[in-house]
Amino acid sequence: MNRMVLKHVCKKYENGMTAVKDFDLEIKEGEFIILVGPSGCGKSTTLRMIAGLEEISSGEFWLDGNLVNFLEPQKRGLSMVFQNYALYPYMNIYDNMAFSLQIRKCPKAEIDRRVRETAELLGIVNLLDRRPSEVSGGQRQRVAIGSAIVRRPSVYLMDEPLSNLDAKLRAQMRVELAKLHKKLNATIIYVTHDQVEAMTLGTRIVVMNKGEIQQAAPPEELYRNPVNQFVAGFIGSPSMNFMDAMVISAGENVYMDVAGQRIRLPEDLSRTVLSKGYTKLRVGIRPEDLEPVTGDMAEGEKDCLSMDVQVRDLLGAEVQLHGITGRYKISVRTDADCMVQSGEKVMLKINFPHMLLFDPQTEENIMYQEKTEEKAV
Amino acid sequence: MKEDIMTLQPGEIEHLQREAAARAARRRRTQKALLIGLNLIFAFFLLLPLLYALSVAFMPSSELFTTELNLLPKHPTLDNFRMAFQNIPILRFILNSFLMAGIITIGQIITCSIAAFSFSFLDFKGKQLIFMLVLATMMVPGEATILSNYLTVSALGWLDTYQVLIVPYLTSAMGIFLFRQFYSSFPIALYESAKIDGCSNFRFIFTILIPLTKSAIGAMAVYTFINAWNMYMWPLLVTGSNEMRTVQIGISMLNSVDSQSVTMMIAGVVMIIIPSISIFIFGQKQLIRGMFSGAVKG
Amino acid sequence: MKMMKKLQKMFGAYCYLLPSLLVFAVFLFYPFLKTIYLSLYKTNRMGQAKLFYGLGNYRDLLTSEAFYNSMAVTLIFVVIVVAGGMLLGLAAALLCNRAFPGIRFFSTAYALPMAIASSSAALIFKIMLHPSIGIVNKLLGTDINWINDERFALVCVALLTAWLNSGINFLYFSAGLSNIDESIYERASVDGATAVQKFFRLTLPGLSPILFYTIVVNIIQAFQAFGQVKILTEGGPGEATNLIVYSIYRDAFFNYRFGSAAAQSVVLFFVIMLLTLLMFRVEKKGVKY
Repeated sequence: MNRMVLKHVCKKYENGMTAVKDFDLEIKEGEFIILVGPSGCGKSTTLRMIAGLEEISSGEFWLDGNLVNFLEPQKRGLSMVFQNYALYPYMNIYDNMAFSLQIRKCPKAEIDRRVRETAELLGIVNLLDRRPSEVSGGQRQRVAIGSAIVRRPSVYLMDEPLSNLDAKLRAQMRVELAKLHKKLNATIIYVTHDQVEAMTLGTRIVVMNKGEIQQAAPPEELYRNPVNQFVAGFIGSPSMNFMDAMVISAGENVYMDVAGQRIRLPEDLSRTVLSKGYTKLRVGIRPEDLEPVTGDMAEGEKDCLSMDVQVRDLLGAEVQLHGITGRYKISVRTDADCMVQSGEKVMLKINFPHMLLFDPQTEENIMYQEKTEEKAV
Repeated sequence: MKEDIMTLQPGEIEHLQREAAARAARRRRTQKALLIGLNLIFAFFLLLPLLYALSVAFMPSSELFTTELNLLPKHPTLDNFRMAFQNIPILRFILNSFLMAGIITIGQIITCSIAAFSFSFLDFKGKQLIFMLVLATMMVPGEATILSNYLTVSALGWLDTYQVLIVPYLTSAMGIFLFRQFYSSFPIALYESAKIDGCSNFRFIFTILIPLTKSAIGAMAVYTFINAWNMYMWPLLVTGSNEMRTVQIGISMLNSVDSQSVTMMIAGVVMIIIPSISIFIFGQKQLIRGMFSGAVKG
Repeated sequence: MKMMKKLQKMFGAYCYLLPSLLVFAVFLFYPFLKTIYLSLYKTNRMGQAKLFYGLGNYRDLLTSEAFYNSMAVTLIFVVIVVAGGMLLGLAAALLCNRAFPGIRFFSTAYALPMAIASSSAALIFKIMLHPSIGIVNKLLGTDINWINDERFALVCVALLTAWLNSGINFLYFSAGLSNIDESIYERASVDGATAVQKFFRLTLPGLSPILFYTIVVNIIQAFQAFGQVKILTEGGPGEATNLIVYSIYRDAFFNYRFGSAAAQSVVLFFVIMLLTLLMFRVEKKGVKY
């Protein structure tokens, strides 16, 4: 069993700066955990505390039922892939991969078998006698992963391993990492600032900001049920559109005044808003949840947002429209056959089931559903 | 500690944690103390000759000549320094050395910068060849040419003069190399735009190049001065009179004169080490930066 | 007209080289050639070439026991100086590799010997090694006449030289250590390496480029040692510390055998040249990773 439990883990530096605050997480065997957040959010520090490279200032870190706060990194039995790969420059690829086995006095034949097996898995057999400086970035990256998996540890820590690769290689390595995770059936804790990586790789994503966990949830849930505006805005590309709105109740109906346009709220949303007594709201709508309606249909359409299109980006299968409604810049994602051009005005139909409402003061998601988290775990 | 975490009582956890924290803190403290301790021992060992010299310089002669262990002077005295001043023209030696080392340093900086300027910014026939020739001089140890040089200067009638101490050292291949290395990082446009502005080569060197290479000049000045100050073989051969001797020669003349003057000799040694050490400590940062910025890369 | 200007420009370029080239010509190239010339002649007491002797001086050297002794002594000396000086420098650099309070003081202390003159150091060591009043005998509780005993004299001079070189070696090694990427140590920690394994598998190989450079610089410096021999032992006892430069000095200025001294100078030159070429080559190839 390889359960990790982090309880109230904090990292405070001597100069009084707090890098990680009250980090609480339980990680089960086989999970692919992604720590994601903007730079400086404490994700790397958290990973380094798990590895034992940084000291835990307070809190507890349990590994396999042992309190390991003060255990040397050598004795934690984890494996780590560094952002700059940290390959040993004066050893060839073979020795780089064999290093962790060699220092454990593993029999030579066994080392050889495992290194070759791993090299095969990663397709780097022909590089084994080269030096790290003689291979390309992508190959170096494979060597770094190979060096980590050759020992077959049950936990892998990866610190932005793909950030030094170009976009194409990154996409390719992402697929391979996902495959590898299935094959190794190991626990992976993976740090990245790239939310695409996070969404595609993780079985569970931990979004961090300013040293604190914002939300830890599987990708779909994080996308549809973010706990607050930060998470909602961080996940997804282009980012979610946010607009401030006034609540106007008129009889049975509840309307929002968004960017000078009056939009009627669906019944379930109205109930929530009314019960909590909000007068101001922040509306969050993902770009794909705004659908341009054209032609005559647009005339009669109510509860639509109108947008002045400024830029039309054709991205092959889809089109992104960027424009202005009221004083807000918003984006729309739709099919490529949408013919709206820049300079035009377009009516946008809102996909209400996916619309989110935030408390403008606390930036919390008003519609956040606790129970789904339990379901997911 | 093999129990499952759920079976641990909260109190136990805290206890364990406190214990582990204390252990880790202790380990860190002892590690740090050990590191400082080792450094203290090693530094003491390395500096022992200097510390001992300092101690002997303050020792009355009678204290040195015992069979007891005498690390520190029991009755510290300045007599040795006073005697050194009275019995040997130490001030003259120091003046000579300062003059020699100072002129050599300034001279080398000037000749090396203008030569390096020529190599980096000007075009002329045989540039590569001449540069190779300059580099090749690094392969000729001064000791291998010293006897011919001695014959040359004695034929010139230069023995026992200032110029004989200074002129042979007025340039250095290493200095030219170092400066050229520095200049090669400047864009040629720097020179060209100065030319367009009507700046003469000489003005370019002294108002633009030299101010830009302060750190290299600093490193070179420290290095050259200390080396010149510490020069021994050449001054030994070419100076004969007390008026011309440099510190290193002057003080080592006291060697084995008579045993009673040992403490005086060490006092003299201390006095002549102080300038070179002070310059070293003062210019250490520059020296290290210059040493590893261009020529030597690990 | 254009031609004139071009010539003038070219002339200017040479002008800037003139001071340096003049000094090199008079005090380096000329004496270098003259040394070779002298080595082919027998000379009078004034150092004037009197009788062409061909390779006679070299033949005499190669058949004289004194020269072989001098070479052997020099080689032993070089080995001790290089090994000792590098060990001291490396130890100091390792001790100062991690930050701790007082590191600035210690690193200055470790580099300090490079500011000390060989002659000053020799004078201090002479007192320290004195058989009756020397601190070394007192501390070790021995009664050894260090510099007058054939067994110890060479070692003493060599250790003194190693000490002098340790300062610059410390700087070289410190620079080498700081060039090693910190993250490979972190990876090794996670991989499970102990401190000793890290030292031998990461630190030493990481130092190898600067290590080689330092070795060559140290060898070259050791070959040129003079002041410490002159002051401490004057080549003695017997011929035990008759290093090559001292031997040149003695042959030329005491025995007035300038021809023989010149021949030895040429030998010294070839040794240093080979070492320097080796160093340039390695530096150019720049053991890069």
